[in-house]
Amino acid sequence: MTSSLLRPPGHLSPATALQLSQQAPIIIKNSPGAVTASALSSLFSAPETPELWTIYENLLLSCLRTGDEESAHLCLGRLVNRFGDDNERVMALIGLMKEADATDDATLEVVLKEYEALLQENPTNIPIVKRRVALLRSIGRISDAVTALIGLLDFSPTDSEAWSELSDIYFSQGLYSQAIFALEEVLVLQPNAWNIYARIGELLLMSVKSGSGDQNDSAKQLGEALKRFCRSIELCDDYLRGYYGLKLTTTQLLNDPPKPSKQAESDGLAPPNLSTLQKLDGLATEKLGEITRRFTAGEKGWQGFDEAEIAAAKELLEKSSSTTVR
Amino acid sequence: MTWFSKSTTTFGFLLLAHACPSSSCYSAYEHSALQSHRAASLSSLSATTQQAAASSSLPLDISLETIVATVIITLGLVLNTAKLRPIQWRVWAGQIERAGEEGARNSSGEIDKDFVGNPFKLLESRPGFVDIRKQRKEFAEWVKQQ
Amino acid sequence: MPTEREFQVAPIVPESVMHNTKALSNLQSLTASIFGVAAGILGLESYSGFLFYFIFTILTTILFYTFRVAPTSLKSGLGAFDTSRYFRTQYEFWAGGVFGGLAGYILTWTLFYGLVRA
Repeated sequence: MTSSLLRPPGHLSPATALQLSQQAPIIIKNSPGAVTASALSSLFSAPETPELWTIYENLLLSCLRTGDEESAHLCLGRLVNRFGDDNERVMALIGLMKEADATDDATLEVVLKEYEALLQENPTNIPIVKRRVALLRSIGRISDAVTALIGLLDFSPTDSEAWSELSDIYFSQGLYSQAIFALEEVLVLQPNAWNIYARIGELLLMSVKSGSGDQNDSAKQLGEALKRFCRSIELCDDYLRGYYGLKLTTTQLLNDPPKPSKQAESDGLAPPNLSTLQKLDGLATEKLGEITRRFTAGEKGWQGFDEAEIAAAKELLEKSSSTTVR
Repeated sequence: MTWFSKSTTTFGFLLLAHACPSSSCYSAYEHSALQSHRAASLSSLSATTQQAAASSSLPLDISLETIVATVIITLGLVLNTAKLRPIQWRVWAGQIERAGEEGARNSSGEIDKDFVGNPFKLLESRPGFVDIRKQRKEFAEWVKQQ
Repeated sequence: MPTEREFQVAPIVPESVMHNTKALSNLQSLTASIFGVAAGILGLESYSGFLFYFIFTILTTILFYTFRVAPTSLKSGLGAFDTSRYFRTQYEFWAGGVFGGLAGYILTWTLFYGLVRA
């Protein structure tokens, strides 16, 4: 169980988060509260490991999420004891705690003011800049959040997390091409991130579905989405999300082929010919079938998939088989 | 699995530890026997060299014990090595996606300490930008549903 | 040898390469010293000592292959004695340990030879 505590808890299910935060009092009791610098006493106490502090940080996040403020305060207290309250990361955690404690908008404004005061002192305090962006987004001041985020990317253009957040904000506003551009920046920094390839493919598909572009554009975008999904599968065997997107794209291209456009041809992003599409479609169907079958059968080594994703894949398969029968 | 490899290694070491003094004692015994023999028959020099040549080879049981012990220790150590990880990106990534944490269990059933799962998951969960108020709201709703 | 382009298309995971190489070289150096103890007890001298070392190192590598590499690599469709799932080159796997452990072998070999014989 401690292994999930070594990773940030953002993506965990509510049940796991609850389980983790319920363990918090025990973990806090059993772990050393403060590590002394004196050599003599360090002989008798448990050794200090980097994992300990990661565990405290992640436990803090889980406890805040489940509303266990007492344990959260204990975790934060220990982190402050160890690193001091002028550590940038700890400062961000203190701010996070205040945000969680805030009950009304006025308190949030105060927290925002505090962040701005901290940034006056040190404008390159990255954790605080990130907290400020998150808070601005949370209270609905999206354009301010984007401005702040672009400011962050100006002095730290290699922060892939920030590019990814920017893409998510653009996506929430329906600005697909900007969102895709931001993710392409992430790919420049992390060229092998298979989930980002799949994410770009999904964004392209959604932008086609939303019908924002003209006919020429959609041919090009579908062709590109196909390529992105194929790359994500190339980087990761049995990638459920990649095959799911591939299946969606090929279905779209087979049922409703867009007119071939000169522009897509010249960019090399035209969708491939019919037989290739059918082959890709068949491959995706076969793989999705295999994955759902093995997951449902409870085969060992196939249990890492997300249950909701498996259910979605099953639904897609059923839908496609019913249309072919008809 | 791990208790098996550990006990195999321990057994091998015991066997080796037994073989070592035996061979030592044996050669010590041979040495003293040789000395007395030499004292008894100083006259025939050629016989003594023959004896010395014979004494340098161990009796069969000690040699066998040593070799068997070495093989057993090797087996135990091999079984005790860490699980290998695939080096090709797609195989490695596929294992993470397919098996999740289960793929990183070592032979004693614990999850490897340096297992991080999909390292690019962070780009989608983005812990630096976490919106804690939204998470709390979602969690409260989830609790209500239970 | 794969080209730069192939590396871009199908990358290698450096952490896994390091992990696997470390597992193998740790095993090789540990077993090499054990072989030295055995050779010392047996009282091997000159060529027979080195022959003993080579035979047992190869035996270790084969055992390692059977227990750690073969089960998963055969299942994934690779041929017998093909270690490409876990190691970059065949040479690294089959011959890399022979020279890595030699120094440790000679150390314990001479030590135990001296202890037992003297």
